[in-house]
Amino acid sequence: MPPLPACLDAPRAALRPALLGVALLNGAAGVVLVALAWCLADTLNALVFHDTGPTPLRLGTVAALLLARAALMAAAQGRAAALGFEAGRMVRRRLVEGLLARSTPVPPGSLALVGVEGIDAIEPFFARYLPATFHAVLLPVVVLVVVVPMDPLSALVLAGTAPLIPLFMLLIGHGTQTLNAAQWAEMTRASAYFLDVVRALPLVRAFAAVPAERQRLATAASAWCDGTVRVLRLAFLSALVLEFLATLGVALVAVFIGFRLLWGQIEFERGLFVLLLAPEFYLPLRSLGVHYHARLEAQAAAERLAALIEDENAPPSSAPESPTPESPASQAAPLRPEEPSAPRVEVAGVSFAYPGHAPVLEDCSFTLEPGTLTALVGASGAGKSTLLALLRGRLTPQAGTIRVDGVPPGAEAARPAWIPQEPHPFAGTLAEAVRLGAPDAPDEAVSRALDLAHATPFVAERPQGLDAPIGEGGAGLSGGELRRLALARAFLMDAPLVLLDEPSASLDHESETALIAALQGLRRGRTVLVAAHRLATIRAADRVLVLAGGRVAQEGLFETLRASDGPLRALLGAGAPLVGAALEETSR
Amino acid sequence: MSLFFDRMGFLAGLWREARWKASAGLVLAVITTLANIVLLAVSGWFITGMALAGAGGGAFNYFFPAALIRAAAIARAGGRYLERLVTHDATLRLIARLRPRLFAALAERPGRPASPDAALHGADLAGRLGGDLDAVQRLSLQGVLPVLVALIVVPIGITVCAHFLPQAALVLTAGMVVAGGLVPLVLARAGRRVGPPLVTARVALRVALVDLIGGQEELRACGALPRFQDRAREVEDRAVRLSKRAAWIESLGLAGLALLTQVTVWGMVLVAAGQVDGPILVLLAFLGLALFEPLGPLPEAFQRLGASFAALDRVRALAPASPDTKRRASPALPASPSASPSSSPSPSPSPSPARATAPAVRLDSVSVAGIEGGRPALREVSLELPPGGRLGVVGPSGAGKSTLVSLLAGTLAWDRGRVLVNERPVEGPHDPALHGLVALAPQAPLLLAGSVRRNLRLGAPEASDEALRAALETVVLSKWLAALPEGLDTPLGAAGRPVSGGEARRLSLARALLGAGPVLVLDEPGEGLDPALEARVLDQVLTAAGTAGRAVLLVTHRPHGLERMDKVACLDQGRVVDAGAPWDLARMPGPFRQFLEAAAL
Repeated sequence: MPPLPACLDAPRAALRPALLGVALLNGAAGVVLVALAWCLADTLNALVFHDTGPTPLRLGTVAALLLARAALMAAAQGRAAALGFEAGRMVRRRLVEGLLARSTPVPPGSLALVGVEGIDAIEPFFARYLPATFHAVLLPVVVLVVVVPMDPLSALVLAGTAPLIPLFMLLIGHGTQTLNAAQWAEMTRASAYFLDVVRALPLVRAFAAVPAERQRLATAASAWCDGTVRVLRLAFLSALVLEFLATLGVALVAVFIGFRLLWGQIEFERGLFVLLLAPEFYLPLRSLGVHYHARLEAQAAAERLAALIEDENAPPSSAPESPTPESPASQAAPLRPEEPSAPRVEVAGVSFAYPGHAPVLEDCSFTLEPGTLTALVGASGAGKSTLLALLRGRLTPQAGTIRVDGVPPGAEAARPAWIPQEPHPFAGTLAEAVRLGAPDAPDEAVSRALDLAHATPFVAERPQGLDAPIGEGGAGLSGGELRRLALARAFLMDAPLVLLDEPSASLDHESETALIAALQGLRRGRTVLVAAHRLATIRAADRVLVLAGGRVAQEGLFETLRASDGPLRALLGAGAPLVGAALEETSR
Repeated sequence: MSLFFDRMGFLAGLWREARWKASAGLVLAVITTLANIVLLAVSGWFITGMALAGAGGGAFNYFFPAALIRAAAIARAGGRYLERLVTHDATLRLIARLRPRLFAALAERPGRPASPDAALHGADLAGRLGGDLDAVQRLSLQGVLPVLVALIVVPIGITVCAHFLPQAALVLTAGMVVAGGLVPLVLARAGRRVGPPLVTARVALRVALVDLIGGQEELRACGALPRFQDRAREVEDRAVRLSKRAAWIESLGLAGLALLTQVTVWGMVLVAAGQVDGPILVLLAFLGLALFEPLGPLPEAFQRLGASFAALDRVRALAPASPDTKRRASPALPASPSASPSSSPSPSPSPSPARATAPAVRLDSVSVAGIEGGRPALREVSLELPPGGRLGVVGPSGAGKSTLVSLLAGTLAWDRGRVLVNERPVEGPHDPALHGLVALAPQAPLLLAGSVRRNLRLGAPEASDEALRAALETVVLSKWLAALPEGLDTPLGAAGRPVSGGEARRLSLARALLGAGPVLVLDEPGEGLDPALEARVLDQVLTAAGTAGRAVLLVTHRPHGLERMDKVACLDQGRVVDAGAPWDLARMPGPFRQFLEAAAL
């Protein structure tokens, strides 16, 4: 059996008591079953040999036992299922923790798939397979304990055939387990091939290759069918052996009892009782085989999950957790106090490298004066986003210091507002999206923030206004609108330091215009740093910092920098010939 | 109820082609179940007979029952093996036949501008379809088969019981009706009460997780991470609570079934006491016990019925049950060659010669509605691509660029306006004029699991190895090819050699170059390439296209390559807001120059 991925160990250990509880319930149900079998055998014996019907007391006992057994079974089943969900919850939590601690970005889409559907595959492992393994040991033992004193010969038959089952399964099984897994892989592959072509359908259609691909699909599918059936023929063999041995065991017990009955060597009551128990002896072993695929599925899912959380052992991304959960503006202060409290930001000799990579920043120094708008410019990969992460305290520099009004970033007092290149479309209403950093802000404040972000027009367009829902994945909002919402969020948070990461892709014209206008409002009483991609932004800035070679290579006003032969000129020249022509025109 | 019969009819239609195997599987399943019943019942009879003979000192002919037990034992074990093999074989083949049919049916449906990326639509669909086909398979094996077996075996058992003692048969019938009818019905009812809130809770959980993980950086920056973690936990708790409740209902059902089994058997024993011989009494008791076994899988199958039917309905909406019913079902489709994929020698244009006569393509105020009343994807767009001409289209994401590409690729229907090929109006996405018109390098460079050759030959099945090598040379992949262990036969994708984003992009470009379509459509060809490589690849691709006299549609959000276009058009919110020669537009204020300025850094 292939070993299970380590991420299942923790829930297994934590749920051991609960698993034992389920095992005990199952065991108790087994004991009641034995008692019921005895009652039935005894009653039949009385009816057949003594022609006496059961007493009311006997019937009452049977009724009580029946109810007890039903209750025990329901409890065991229900608790086993609950156990599965608990295990799912634990794995999911671990996954979330791992993903939150990751230093590299989460592959998009993988989360929804693995986080919800993947955990569905883990639950049956705990709810069915693991209890079945306990039961496969427990119930045969209970039955044996009862049968040994009743009829040693039958006990011998049972005890003799039982180990044969795992033994034979092991013999064939060594091949069969791998075949079982191979069959699993085969079936998955056949379906993957089909899904692959469906995924590429637009392309296949565009190339007018539909008939050819259909033919291919049919050929491949029937070839895979043949292969799979060949594998199944062997894979089902283990079930056949199991079934055969179980049947053989029951038949042997029946024959031995039958002849001893004929020769008068055993009472009918005992014989019947043992015969009733014999199938129950093999049943849990048989159902274990049925649940084996739950193990295979859990295995596959756990491996995929483990791949997502694997780098959790890496140093926790040098990211200090936000020290306090309360948000700065939850008191909903007026949007901008009269006296400007814009901070001064000092970056001195800062160096930073991601683990195992060349340094991004080396001895980088600059100062942002209070109340200024600074544009940060650089080729992609020059470290603009890293610098913003350092300034908001998400990363800590390996050397040098960063001070926001004398306080290290990340402290509650210095927490800046930050808008990423592509804001995440949070599910909920427009108002909720704006209130993300200030959950208790009143409606008027939200409206004012939307106004300042030039987002009011598209909010007013929706019939439900502020309560309009944002669909899953941001459906119904353009990239530019989403960005304006994020800007409104920054206005509402009212942080004195604002960090903006401008998108490199262009936005719709309306949004572009609105965002440039909003930027002017933002600089009032705040210190603003923009990782800029827009010429308009750069022109509007009080100062341009050009990031190259891990430090600020050039700084000053855009027109001045453009005129001189320096890194900014080289940057602008990296564009296409048409861009050069356009810039020439603009500068005229 | 008629919907139920429709569904079953559809399923039966699917099974019709495999009816012999399906019948064989059913017969084997029935034999196996009957063998189990015979085994138990005869054993009980045999034991009691032996005991009576032993006690009374009489003789008992044990040869016949012993032989019967042996036969039943073998039939049970072997039958079960054969049954599993046959039913799995039949189901696999059913799905295998269904796949190409579904594929062809899907290919006929024009897409909607649901997602900005047409490929995403495919991925979405593929994901759902995979699950749905699994559900149909499960419904057949774990839903319909056990029900059919029970429907056949239970009456036989009851008849046998009635032969010995009608009163006992009455008790047995009552037990069976309650266990096989009432219990599943109650379960299905209870399941319906928990089901919908559970589905809602699970969707909410997925959304909460996506927000928490996908938006973690922003949440951290706002100090809202703990709040969202708490919220995700709450949602999770609710989902777990509802799941547990649903599981409890199922457990109660199973326990109820076990209780019913025993109550019925005891009832039969009490009714039969004194009415029949000892051996028959025990036989009846064991018969009752065994007859409940085929009912075991029913509660779970019934609880899953809702979900299984939903999956079946989606498959049903896509694929007709058999090729015959398909044609009747879709009379609305124009009689285009793609409507009957089996008649394969459709006008799939033969390679190179077609390129010589590159057509003129013109859009005349074409509009495409958005999804569900959203903003239109294209509004009155008029564009022209003369034979061998070059048109660049720029604009922000969501401006309608991909819609435009899908439209020309024949995967999307338009709502108003005209599309003309050689000045002849095109009727719709299925019009032969659009069939094989373009050679597409899509925005998402889709690679199929398979060899390099298979991927490159998608649009040119006949292309020689030299042609493939030449195309790879054009996209600067010659060295890459030389380093591959098996050359053009090297498998790519998940099971094969990993391919980087840039390599996939260039393979996709090479595939488009090889494709027969006279209009080369390049959707974001520079994405994922560094600027120098992007410039070189684009240059060589455009040169190759020019040599072949092919028209080019370059869709991009980057400035590279636009200088070699005859004309550029700017799209914004579905409208053409600027159009003209690229160098002219670059020199005057307007959307195109704004685009270039934004692209400067």
